[in-house]
Amino acid sequence: MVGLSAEMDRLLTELEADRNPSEQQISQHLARAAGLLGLEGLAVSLVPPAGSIELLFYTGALTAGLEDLQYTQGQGPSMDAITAGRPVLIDDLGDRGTMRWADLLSSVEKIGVRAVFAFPMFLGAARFGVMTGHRTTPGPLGQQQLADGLALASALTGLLTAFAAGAGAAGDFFAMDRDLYHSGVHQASGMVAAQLGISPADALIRIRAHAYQSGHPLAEIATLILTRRLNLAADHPPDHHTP
Amino acid sequence: MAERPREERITNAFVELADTLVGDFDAIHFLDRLVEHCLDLLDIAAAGVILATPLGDLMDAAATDRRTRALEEAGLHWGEGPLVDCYRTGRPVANAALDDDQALHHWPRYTLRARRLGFVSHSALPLRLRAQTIGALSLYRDQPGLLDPAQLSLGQALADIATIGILQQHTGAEQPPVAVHLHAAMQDRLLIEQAIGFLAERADLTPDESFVRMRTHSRAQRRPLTEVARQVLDDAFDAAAPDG
Repeated sequence: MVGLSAEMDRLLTELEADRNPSEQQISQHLARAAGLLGLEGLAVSLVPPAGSIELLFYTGALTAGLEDLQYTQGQGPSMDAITAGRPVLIDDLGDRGTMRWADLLSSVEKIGVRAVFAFPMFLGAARFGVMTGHRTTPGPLGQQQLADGLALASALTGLLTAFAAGAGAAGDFFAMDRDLYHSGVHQASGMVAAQLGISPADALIRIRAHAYQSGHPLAEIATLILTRRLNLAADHPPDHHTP
Repeated sequence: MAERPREERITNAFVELADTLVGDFDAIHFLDRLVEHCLDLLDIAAAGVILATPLGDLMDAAATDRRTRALEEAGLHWGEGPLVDCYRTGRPVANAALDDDQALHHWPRYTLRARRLGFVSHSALPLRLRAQTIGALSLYRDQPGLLDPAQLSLGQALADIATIGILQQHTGAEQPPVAVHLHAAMQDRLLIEQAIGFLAERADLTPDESFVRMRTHSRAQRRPLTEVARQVLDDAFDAAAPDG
């Protein structure tokens, strides 16, 4: 019989008791949860019905890199978990005979990640986010870890719900003083939109394409654009070195 | 008639249940549809739902058949079974085996009764939003083998729809779903970030200067920052115009 482990139960109880946890406290909870699940990193992202995945909280040294690769390509286990509405569990990235996103997974493996587990977060009929964990060693999640992982995703859903349900809290949650992981990327989209006379959404696609082709992280490309060291409008490469 | 693909049936189940949440919400009819969808979509033999009454008693609210309903009623009466444990703890009980001694030890009367109906395992998923548990959904198997994570996750998603529906009925409020709030707030923030970049290009500013420029305008004109951001992105913002 697989109920919740006592440790995860304690952690979720603490998480739920805290009415207004800071970003740092949430990250600390996530770090503990990752340990209980035998994982080295965990990410919580929002996925609006139309639009790209937005990283909210994370823990682990490789997590931002993993999410960045998925964001750049606009696909991957996190997106699939949301689209299909079920967990996407990749035990071993080295064994991807028939797997999708062969190209993405080979980049993911290059940064040292060997197993990825994505759990969709539901709120009623709405799929609104995803929790993605990873390990640098291959191997499936155990039954206990699966049960704990499902419960954790559900508790995090409750946490985000509480942010959103409080009066004006959803707005506060995204207040300007909170660093959004992809702020720079969205600013760069606006800049490229103005330069090329296209929509910010189309500009984002171009920036992602550039990051993908150059093999550089998206955030780096965004910084180059915002500091005017890279101009996607230019037909010819600028005279200084750019990725 | 060929059976529709599973993905399509899942989508239809969500749409149908979500539609039921609007207008005159009939909780019992809704839960009847919920257990039917569970039976259709999951590898199970029966499903049932228990609900907490406002006084804190538990009642059996729906089941796919009469015998399952009677089993749940008996379990509630005895205070035994995964369903009761799940409700008490607010946590899922996944694939509790009913054919071993541990089950007999934990839930003696319930286990014997469930075995007589041919059930070999029982998963119970909470109807829960944050710290509030309002009931539980039962999934029974009469064949060996486990409900895999995908099925448990789908079962929980269906249980979550029920939770939202019932809580909305209790509050009687016609509130927009919180997911919509959260996504809308995020979209507003993204809009502002995009506008920062857009204005920086138009007015030859750094992103920081651009943000200060937009915020100053927003305060001077007493207009929300998102509105200013929209104006910027529509290329209708005069960056040279003085504020205050």
